[in-house]
Amino acid sequence: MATKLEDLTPEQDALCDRVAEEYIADLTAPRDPAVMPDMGAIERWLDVAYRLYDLPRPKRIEIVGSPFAALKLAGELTGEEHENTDWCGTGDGGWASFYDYFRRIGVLTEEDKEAAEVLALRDFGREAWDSVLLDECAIVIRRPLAIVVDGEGRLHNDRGPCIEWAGGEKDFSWHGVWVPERTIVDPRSYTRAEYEAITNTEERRALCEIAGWDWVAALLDARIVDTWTDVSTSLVYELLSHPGGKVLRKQSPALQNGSQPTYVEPVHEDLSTARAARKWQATDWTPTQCERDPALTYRTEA
Amino acid sequence: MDLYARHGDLVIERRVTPIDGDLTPARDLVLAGQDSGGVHTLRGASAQRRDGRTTLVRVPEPTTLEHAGRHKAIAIEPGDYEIRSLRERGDDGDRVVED
Repeated sequence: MATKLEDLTPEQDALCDRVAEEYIADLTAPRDPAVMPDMGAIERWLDVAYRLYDLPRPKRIEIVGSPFAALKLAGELTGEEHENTDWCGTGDGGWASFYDYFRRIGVLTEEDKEAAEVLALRDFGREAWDSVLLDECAIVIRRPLAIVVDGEGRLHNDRGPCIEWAGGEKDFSWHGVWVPERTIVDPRSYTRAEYEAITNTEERRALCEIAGWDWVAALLDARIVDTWTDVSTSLVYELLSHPGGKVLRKQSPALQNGSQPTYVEPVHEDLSTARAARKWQATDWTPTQCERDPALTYRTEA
Repeated sequence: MDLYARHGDLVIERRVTPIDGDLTPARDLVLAGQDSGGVHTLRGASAQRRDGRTTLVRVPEPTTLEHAGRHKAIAIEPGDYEIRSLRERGDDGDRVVED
């Protein structure tokens, strides 16, 4: 039976932060590739998970090195394409830590069934990143060997992979934005056509920040056609022309972390002013209409 | 032209006339960013219908439009809105800005 507390002592209050820090630190703790997961912890959680669906835990448990390997194996075993894992593993640390905290301050005990099950999930998450649970086979994904984040906890590594999987696969990210390996390790190898083929504005921004805007401008052979500053927000907009068309380079309003990144987005080639290009992006007006009446105000920009 | 708000790549335009036709009830409506993880979420109850690149949304009570980790939240007053993504040039025409 759970115990009810009306107030936290200063020690219990301080423990909240310590538990959170412990779970967060565990996320990025490097893993020894030679140390295999604790099968006891894995089997204890699998017993719970399969029981929730009135199924026995399958005899076959496969430990794989990455989500990609798990989905591939699931496809081979079922004959069906698998696009998603079960999202069950390390990612459950958020609420596993919640229950763990209440166990540590004595509100929940090992005798509380649900608490015990969540603690089994906690132990599983310390061994397994995720899983794909099939009737005849439980596929368990090992924790990555390395996870690198920036000061705000976003996946980020400016020199290499942000995630190294035990199976050898690697993922790359720039301050939380997924990017191809090449963007991190060889950003200035992009050709103009390859740059123009990037359709995701965050990925484009990442490349501009990594390779440098001057380099990108030179790659595009871009020259400034017009500049406009929104006096109500102080945001600066530049319209640039290049042999392939025109782009609007624009400053973001201050984000949650206070930064104001710059985005570069292709706009209609018939636009001739930055202010009209800004309006063209936000409306379904033609370039001519936007040039004739470029005024556009937002009550709020964020 | 005066528009209600811009939230990253989303433009929020308040309608002067009510939305015609049926709307589907929603809660914590995700308006964009499902694929990239940069999700824009309209908190609480609303009702919505997709119309091309625009989402028609009815907001019954004051709420916020939030973003997963990047843009600051903005206040949304009760009313009817058209919410659409900014556009850019590409793919031999216009396309929505992806983030």
